[in-house]
Amino acid sequence: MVLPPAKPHSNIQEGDLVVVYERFDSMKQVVVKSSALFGNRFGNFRMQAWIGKPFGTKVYAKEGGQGGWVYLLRPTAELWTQVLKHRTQILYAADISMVCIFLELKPGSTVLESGTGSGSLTTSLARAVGPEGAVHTFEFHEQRCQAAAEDFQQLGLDSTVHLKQRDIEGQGFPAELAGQADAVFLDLPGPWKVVSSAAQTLKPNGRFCSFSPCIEQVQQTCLALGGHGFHSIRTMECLLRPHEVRSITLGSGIPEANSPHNAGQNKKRKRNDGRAANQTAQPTPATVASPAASLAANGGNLSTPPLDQGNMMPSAPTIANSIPAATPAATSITHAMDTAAADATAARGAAGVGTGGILQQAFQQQQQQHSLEQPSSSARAESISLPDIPTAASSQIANGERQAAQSPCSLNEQGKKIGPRWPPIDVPEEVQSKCGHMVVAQPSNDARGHTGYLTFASKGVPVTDVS
Amino acid sequence: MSTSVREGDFVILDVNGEKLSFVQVTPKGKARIGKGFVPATALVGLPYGCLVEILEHGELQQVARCVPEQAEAPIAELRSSGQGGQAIVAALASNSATYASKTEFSQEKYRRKKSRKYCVQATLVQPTARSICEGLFAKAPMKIGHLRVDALALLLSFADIGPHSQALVWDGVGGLVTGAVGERMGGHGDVCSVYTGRNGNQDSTRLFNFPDHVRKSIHTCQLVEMQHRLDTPAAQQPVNTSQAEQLPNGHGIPDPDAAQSDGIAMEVDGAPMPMPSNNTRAAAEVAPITSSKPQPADARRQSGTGCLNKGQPLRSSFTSCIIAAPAVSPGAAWHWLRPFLAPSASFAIFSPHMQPLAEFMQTLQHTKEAVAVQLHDIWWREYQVLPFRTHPEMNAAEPGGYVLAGIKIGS
Repeated sequence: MVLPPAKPHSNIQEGDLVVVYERFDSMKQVVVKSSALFGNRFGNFRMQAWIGKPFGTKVYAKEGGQGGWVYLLRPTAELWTQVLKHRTQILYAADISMVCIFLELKPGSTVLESGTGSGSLTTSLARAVGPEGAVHTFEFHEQRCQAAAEDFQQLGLDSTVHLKQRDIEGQGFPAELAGQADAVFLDLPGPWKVVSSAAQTLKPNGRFCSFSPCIEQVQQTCLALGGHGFHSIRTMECLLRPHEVRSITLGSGIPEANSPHNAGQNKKRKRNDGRAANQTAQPTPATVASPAASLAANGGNLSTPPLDQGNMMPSAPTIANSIPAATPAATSITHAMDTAAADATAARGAAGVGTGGILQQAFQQQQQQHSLEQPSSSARAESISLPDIPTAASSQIANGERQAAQSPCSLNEQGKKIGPRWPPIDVPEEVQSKCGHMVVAQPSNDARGHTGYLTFASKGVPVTDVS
Repeated sequence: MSTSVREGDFVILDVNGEKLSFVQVTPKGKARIGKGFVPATALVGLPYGCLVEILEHGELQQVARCVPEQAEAPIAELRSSGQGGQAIVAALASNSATYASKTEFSQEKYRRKKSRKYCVQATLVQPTARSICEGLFAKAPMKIGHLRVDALALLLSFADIGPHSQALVWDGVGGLVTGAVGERMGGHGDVCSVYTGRNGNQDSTRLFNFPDHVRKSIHTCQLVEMQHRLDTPAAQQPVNTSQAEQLPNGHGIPDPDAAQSDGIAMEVDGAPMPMPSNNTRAAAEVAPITSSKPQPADARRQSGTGCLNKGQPLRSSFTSCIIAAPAVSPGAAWHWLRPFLAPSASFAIFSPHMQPLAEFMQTLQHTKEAVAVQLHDIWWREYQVLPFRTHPEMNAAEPGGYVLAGIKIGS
């Protein structure tokens, strides 16, 4: 039951309404009947077993805690919004919460609502005003009115919610409610027609709200409000954007094999390989001499951004093409390298026709492999590893230029084709620490769009004589 | 809630629809409207929602809200007739040589400028969760962790706050959330507001002008004290005065925030908050959350209705939980509060930053202690609605924070 007060230790009783939680996107409203079964794709559940258990329990279809399971949750107004039967378009949490706070509802308040619709907002209004307050709600459509009445009874709200079938646009609010409302809420096609009646029904300084999908409706309503002594008229829109959360791994831009002493997050390994680091140390001028070698040592990029989908090598063709060209192009590449290497590169720039071709081929290979390994974007809460640049495995480069001038395709121990092996690059600690596993949030694809505009206003108070 | 201003109330002044300010109606208080001041006591008896302005001779007068198209009359006459400054502005506009040739936008701008000079009026706004949050957000958003009113609204909804709840709140935003929860519960259930030493300030709850029965239902206490109540009933609290006198925090529990701790076991808000002197209060404050015998410091404290005042252990006692403590890691706050939540309790956590909530959401996905977990980013925009001039408001939307919500499940 939503109301009366939910005792923290209360258990599920026969006839209670529970919200059966199946999955993050699947919940159902169920009335507990000891003689009946609840069946879903996870199994058939004997509801007899639910009775006496506390809300929030996990229950299984089979005895002994096996098979399919569901959670039994206490109904709240938010859960009800997600499990109710839609007979009309309904309001969701973003608008509902704004209505409750901007109408300044509190226990004991009296609030009027038209139209009831599917009762989504009504449940939240009832929660806000409590057993000592009152929600007078009006629905024009007879069948929807009846269906709503059944819902309120099932939720235990029928003492707080007073439902009537009435055409509010045509007739206004009932005269017997004049001057009694702390707040009025309208979700109607023509709310400006009801402003006058709302003004009569509201107490002085009472709060008004109208929800309309179209701006023209809002304009008409605001004009009517201004003409009936309402003030502090505000129109707004609010949307919730849900996010999905997952773990991803971001690389340093330098593939593992190119800097073995930086491989992974394993610091022990790093210490052990400290000596190895010195052995496969900074490229000597000789190895850097080949412009191809120098460039690829940087992971193929002019700078070394973290490895990023789609950010692989936009500059690759530029590098490949500019190598045979004049020195200025080579100079632009030197930003990422030290001066010694730069000089060597510039000196050998002209000799690079063959190396340019090899470089281009290597980049193309890498690009293909990368596109095959694009992670699926629909993965949720899984670890996604972005691919490393496929690397050569074994052959050491003694002389970069000579190596680069050879055929690019050698074979490793398994007989697989590999590209040329580049001299290792050291990834500094401060860069390493920014890489690796991290949790990120991304807006969901199914975030809801525009629902409607909310217009709030306060009814004026007459000038009083304060002596 | 009273419909007119009383002595001792806090009042929010909405000046010309442009600025919000807080005034407490005390004999020494002053209310500033535009460039003029009146003693705050001049507001007593005025109905909330009325429009006031300060007349030439310094008197505060209630004025009618008039429609801008006012009859033309000399300014002095309009002033003395009590028609209010809007009539003056209308007269100025109609007398202005260039007014008619201005664009509507310029005309609006002209009227606003003249209003600021001739016609500074204020609406007396009743403090509610909505108006207090908007006032604080406009005045000092940092102090409330950029908790905007739409985020506050979501916290109240997602945590299923209502007169049927038992609410546990970690309020690191000066008491705004505690007050909002108290307002929605109306004294029917308990609101237990925990804090760590540094963020013990719950001053904002005073702004709500709560009646007694609501004030009684709000209990604030330090987290360390709350921990002690997890499985121990209040009656069994160690009352060790000698030990208490030695330790600054007065209840024998080592307090990690001892440097900032005010050592108060319980406070009931609504009464003026004296600055505690640690030593003198140490002995008196050893009392548990509910005190069976009245003590000097508890003079203002009265018995409430819920489980807290029955002195029971508090494990699994709460059906609703709100964490709004930007300085505390969500995972840590959850760790301390989780045992107090009943299964199927609704919770909502606010942070001005998304990353901590995203990481905590992942933790929840792994530990499987909650279902229906959602992480939301909130978008809010206001519109100016005028004939042929309807568009979103010019001022940029400010960041409003993020909310993580879910339902705790049983083990």
